[in-house]
Amino acid sequence: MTPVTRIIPVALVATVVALLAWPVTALALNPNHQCIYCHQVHNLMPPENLTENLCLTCHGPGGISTLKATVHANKVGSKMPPFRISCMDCHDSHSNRVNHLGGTNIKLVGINVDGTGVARLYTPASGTREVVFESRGTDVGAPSLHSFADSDEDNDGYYDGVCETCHTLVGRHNNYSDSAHNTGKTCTLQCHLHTTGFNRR
Amino acid sequence: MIPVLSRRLGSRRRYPVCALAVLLCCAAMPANAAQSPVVPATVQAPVRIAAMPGDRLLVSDNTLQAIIVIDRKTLSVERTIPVGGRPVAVVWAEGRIFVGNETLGQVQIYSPDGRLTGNFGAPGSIGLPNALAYDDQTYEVLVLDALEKVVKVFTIEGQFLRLLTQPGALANPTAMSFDRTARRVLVSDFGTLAGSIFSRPKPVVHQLDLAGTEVAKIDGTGTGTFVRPQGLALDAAGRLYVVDSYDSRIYVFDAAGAPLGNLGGFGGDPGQLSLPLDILDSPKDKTLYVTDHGNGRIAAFPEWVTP
Repeated sequence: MTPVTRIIPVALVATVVALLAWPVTALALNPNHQCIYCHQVHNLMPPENLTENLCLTCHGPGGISTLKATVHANKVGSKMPPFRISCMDCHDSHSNRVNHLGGTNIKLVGINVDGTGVARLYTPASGTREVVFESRGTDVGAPSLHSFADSDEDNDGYYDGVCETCHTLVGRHNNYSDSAHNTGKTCTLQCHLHTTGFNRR
Repeated sequence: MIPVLSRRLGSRRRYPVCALAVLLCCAAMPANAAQSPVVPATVQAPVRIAAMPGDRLLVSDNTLQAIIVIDRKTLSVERTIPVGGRPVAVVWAEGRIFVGNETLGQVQIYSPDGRLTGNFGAPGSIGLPNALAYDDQTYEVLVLDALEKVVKVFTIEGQFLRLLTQPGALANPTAMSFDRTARRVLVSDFGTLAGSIFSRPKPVVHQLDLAGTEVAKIDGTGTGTFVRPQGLALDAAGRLYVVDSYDSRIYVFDAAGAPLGNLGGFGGDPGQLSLPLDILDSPKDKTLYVTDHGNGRIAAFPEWVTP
């Protein structure tokens, strides 16, 4: 082993120990999520099948966060094809990513699907698509542009709102046509709450 | 993407099959279905569980936004009580059902037949009513507010009396149980998530006296035990059961706080759990009932038996 290759693992260990002992929120991370929240010391990565539960230990019922959430899945009795969109299908737990328009998404929406770092989503029926979510919508005093479903307000021919980009069967705000249904509003405030899996009760 | 989605949907396809198998199993042996999860048909997202006289179980269901009354012997749903929001905590006290309603931010009081008869404070006054306990000697209701991170004490009529714990005493409390024998309050606490791992408070179960003084505690991470502790239960032998929502296990401790072992583990098969949130010991059948939130069912395990 050369001196350089000997140094690398030592440096890696030293860095991990230093970050755990004196944690700082890296610029690339969501300031509300420090490493240690999810990465235990002797179990650095949660098992794949526990990732959703890990999020829900805080954001689910009985958890300590006030930002409550439930996974996006069929409502009981739904006639839609079965689907189940988990936390990390939409959210990147590490950072708010730049979107394809050059802006920065909020609420950790959009994941790095192709290594470019640009916010995109795998969709159930439309392949990989761009997602833009820069505003929480007009009900909370934010712009309608680039909110949940702005019905292509920027007229670039792409329905890339966080609600629109996957939908193809819902009748309103699909990813291929305009819709006048509460366009630009805050979908999750009263009707399609994250706590009900976005299903309208 | 297609392989990823297919894999995900494939794994989910197992759940209906498992649920059907479990239903058939339960139909064959409806009572004392120890170690076989039980699936009351209308439970979707169970959170907390409490005992009710007449061999009944009370379960709060976050998705149904209701309290479900279950006959423990037949495992059938006797009544569903809509509560107008997402219920978390539930406890039975003096002929009434007390419900911590997270949406409304208050504690509601229901009659056994489901009529709303009162509430604690104004809406929003209890930010996250995560747990309730009842002291039947003092007729006091204890409310754990996970937002303010304190335990509040009320009369059974809803009059605020005092704080059992002062702000800052608990780091991130989540659930609570009352030990009637020792007259202690047990509080599970995530610990402090931020800060150095060498100095920050660990996950812990606090044991408090009725003055709020900590008389004992059980540490989690670091002794190879729980990480995100939720519901707590004690059996007649004084063993403490701690539900860990992180790794879907039930950690068992003896009366002195020494670890004995664990039950469960992540999964959807019988004997496995996914995001369990609460536990209730039933001395009659020596069975532990667990709200298996992620699997949408109530799971049953036999009490711990020392090998």
